[in-house]
Amino acid sequence: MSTCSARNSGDGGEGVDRISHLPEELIQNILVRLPSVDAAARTSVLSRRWRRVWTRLPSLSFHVASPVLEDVAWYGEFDPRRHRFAEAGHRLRKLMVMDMPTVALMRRFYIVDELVLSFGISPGIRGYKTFLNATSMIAKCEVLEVQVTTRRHAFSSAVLHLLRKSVGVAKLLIRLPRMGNKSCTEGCPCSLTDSCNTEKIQLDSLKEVEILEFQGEFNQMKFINLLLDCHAPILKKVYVRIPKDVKSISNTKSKKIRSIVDGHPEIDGWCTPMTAADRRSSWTPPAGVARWTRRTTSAASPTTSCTTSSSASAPPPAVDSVLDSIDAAMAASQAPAIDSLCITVEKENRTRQLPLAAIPAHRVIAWLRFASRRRVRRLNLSLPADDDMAARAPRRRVGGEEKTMEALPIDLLAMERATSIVLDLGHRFRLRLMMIPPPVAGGSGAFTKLTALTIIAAAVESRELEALVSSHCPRLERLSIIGVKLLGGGGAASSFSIRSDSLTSLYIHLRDSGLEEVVAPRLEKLHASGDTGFHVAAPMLAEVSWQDVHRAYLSNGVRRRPLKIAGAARSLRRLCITSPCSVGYLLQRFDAVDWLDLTLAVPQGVEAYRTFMDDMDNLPKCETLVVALIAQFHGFVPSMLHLLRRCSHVKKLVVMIIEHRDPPPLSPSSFCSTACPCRSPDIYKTDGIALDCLEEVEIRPIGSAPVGVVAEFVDQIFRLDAAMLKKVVYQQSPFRPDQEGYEKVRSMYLSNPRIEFRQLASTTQSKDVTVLCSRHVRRLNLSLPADDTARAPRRRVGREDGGAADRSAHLGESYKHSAQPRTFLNIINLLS
Amino acid sequence: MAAAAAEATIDGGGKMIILISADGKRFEVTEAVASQSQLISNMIEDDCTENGVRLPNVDGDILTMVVDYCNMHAGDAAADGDTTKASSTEELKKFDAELVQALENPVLFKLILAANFLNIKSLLDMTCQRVADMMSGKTPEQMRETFSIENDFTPEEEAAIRQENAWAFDD
Repeated sequence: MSTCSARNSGDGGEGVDRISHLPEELIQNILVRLPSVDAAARTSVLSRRWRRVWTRLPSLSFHVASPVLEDVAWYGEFDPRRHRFAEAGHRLRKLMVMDMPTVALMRRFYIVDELVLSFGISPGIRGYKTFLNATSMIAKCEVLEVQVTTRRHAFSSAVLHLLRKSVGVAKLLIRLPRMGNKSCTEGCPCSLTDSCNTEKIQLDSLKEVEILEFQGEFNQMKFINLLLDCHAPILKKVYVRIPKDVKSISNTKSKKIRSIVDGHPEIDGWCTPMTAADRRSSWTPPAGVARWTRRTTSAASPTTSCTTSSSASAPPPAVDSVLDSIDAAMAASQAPAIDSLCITVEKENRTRQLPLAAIPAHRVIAWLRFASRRRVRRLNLSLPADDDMAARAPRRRVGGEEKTMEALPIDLLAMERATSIVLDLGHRFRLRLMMIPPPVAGGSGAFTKLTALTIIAAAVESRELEALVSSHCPRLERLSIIGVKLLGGGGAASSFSIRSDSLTSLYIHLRDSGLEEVVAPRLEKLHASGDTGFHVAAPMLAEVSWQDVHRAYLSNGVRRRPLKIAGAARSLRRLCITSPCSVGYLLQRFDAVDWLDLTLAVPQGVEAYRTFMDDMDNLPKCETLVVALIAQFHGFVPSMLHLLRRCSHVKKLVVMIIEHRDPPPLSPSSFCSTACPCRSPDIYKTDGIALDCLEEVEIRPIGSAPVGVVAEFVDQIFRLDAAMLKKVVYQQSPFRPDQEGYEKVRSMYLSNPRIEFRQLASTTQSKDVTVLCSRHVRRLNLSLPADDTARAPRRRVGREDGGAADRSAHLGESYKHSAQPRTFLNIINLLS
Repeated sequence: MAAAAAEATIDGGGKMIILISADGKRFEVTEAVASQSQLISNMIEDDCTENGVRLPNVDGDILTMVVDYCNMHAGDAAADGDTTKASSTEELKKFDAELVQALENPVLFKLILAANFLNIKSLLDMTCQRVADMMSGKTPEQMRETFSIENDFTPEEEAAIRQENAWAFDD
């Protein structure tokens, strides 16, 4: 190292290969930062020094994205700093470089099936030099179509230059311009004799040449002659197309063409009239082909508009070959121990049904075996969700016959060195854990170093799962089990318990109930969602989030276990409850909660409303209260007032007013019987409500909350005795901004100079909302695509929670809020 | 020992340390600045910085950049979570981005070697990332061109390697 720096210190020149002289550990440090393993593997051909460096990399990362983008037609200049194709790979089916040559674009997409170069070259020496620079590299392509207007420059020099730079062209299409007898300025590179030299042009894969728009000009013939002089060993066919409107090409001329072609006996030549299809110029891409256009106002948006090909004829890149490349890289890797193995295969995109979900089990088995043998430290395996399996499997009992697809078994093997494992199996696989040897007392074992384990969308036998988390992982701190389907082994009930002395954070979302009990003396954070509760024995518990996704109204009085927390203190940092039914049992468990977040639905009927009122009587003391109340069948305002009666210690109150599907929404008249307490005049009394500590109120209509309700609620709040109130924030709904409601709120608070009033304008862009909020209130990303509301929540639950789970460990708060909108929608779904 | 070093960083590193580059240039920096280098930090712990720290592998101009970098970043390890830092982290990011963007071939690799020798992880990460960025999206030919790597394979050998790793080249 020192010798190297000493040797190179004197020259300081640019043309010295310094990178190859770096010590290998530094080269590896660079290579692991490349986006994928194949990029690192491509360095193997750089030189002997680089031949095997990549195979010793300690970290392998594969990201298989389904290529959304296939065809790009780019008009004008391409600036890689501004125009990012964030999600696209480097390969395209068709790339059309229009208007002007841009090498940056071809650097971005350097492997293309079909490349169309269609541009003009500006006159003058400078124009030609620009052209040379901008085509210093040409994307590797099989079909190359050239349509260059040269404006005085020699057409043949320009095309030959392009051919010199091209690699692997099998078919060449050239549209001839009218050449005339123009000649370029003296000294232009295009007129140098060298530029028409065909010696260095190697067209080793060229099989077919097609020349369009042949008018019979002398220069055109000269060009064809030149072209056929190039070294093209397997060139077999040359077509010369004559436009129909060229009535007759004189006999002598056609003879001349023939003689040109005849000079190359190995080539078949045709000279035919052009058909209508040939006339179609590349300037107008055929229907269905994507057309990327530069937006003139691109300052506002760094990305450009795009529509992808909907009628693409080419087959999608074979998934097998993509997966093969993972296996090939693993086979080539020689590192004895791998620090990080990351394989993420993206979900198929909706427009193109790439069969990415169908990853064969043997591949996954091989990956896990590799991880085990190479003693992986961090493993992340994320496979695309098989929506069919996820959504339909439970409902597929047709005619008494179980039609559920069988999950394919794969084995998890021992990984002694692993500290973090993420397995997202896309609902297709059954994770078997029986190959794991039992832990050895006092030291080594299958998962003795493991601190974080995430299992998503897999089927696991409950007994095995219990054994894994309870006895095989003595250092496990963070456990996430999301969308896991529990299988009962040999007829036993599919239930399990978690017992861990090391666990601090548990995130659990089960598709089918099954968790009986969690015994974790060090557990601090618990996030659970499911349709039934379980017992928790955790004395250190500080944060609890419970999402009850049980469809209370659909199950006819089936007894369910509530979430039972034992051993914990009576105060918490956070408590978040989302539930469509009574949560009194959970509320009365705690005396004080710093941050209480309730998303509750009040069921129809007098009895249910009484239960709700009783529940609220047990509200723990809290500083911040976030309430989303779905009181569709009852009066919203009276319900809120009842709730507020119980929270005299609240400093900050956030109220979400939620859209309802049915037209007569939050008004009590149409739904509730007159006997219901929500209609009693007493409940409107604000006498008993003292919000002595309240400093800030935030009102957030979600969806299109009816104007009347917002105004009514604000009116009531205003009347309350809240001497400390300093600030009111009203956040517009991102979908249907409610100007009337806003005006109402504003006018009420404008009259009171003591109170600061703020409106947070909403936009449909989630980013903006978040940024705006962050300055004031630090929360909530409200945006949900409006038309997704109906189906999104149910279908995506498992997957989205997966992402959230990882974040939740670090960003408890922000996770909570980002999850909120979905939760609402879940409940709205239940109600409708 | 460790406790003593930690104390020095917290009180602003009152003690000065002299760094001497390969070509004899001298740089006076505080202990807090210098101890971002794990190498120097270890030397401080071992009390062998009395007569200045000779860095025979690092040129003066490179050491200037390293010292600049360390001066900018001094304290971000020590005073974490300080609210007044919010604006300066922005500045820091800008400084880093500008520094790294401006780096060109010869200097960049000298800086990598210096960061590696001095064991300054953040600087090493940043410079290595820059090289990775320069590499990514390039074909092997373009990489050779960018880094002036001489292809010492015969065409046959190169073809064989491409064949062997065909999966990587075919994308």
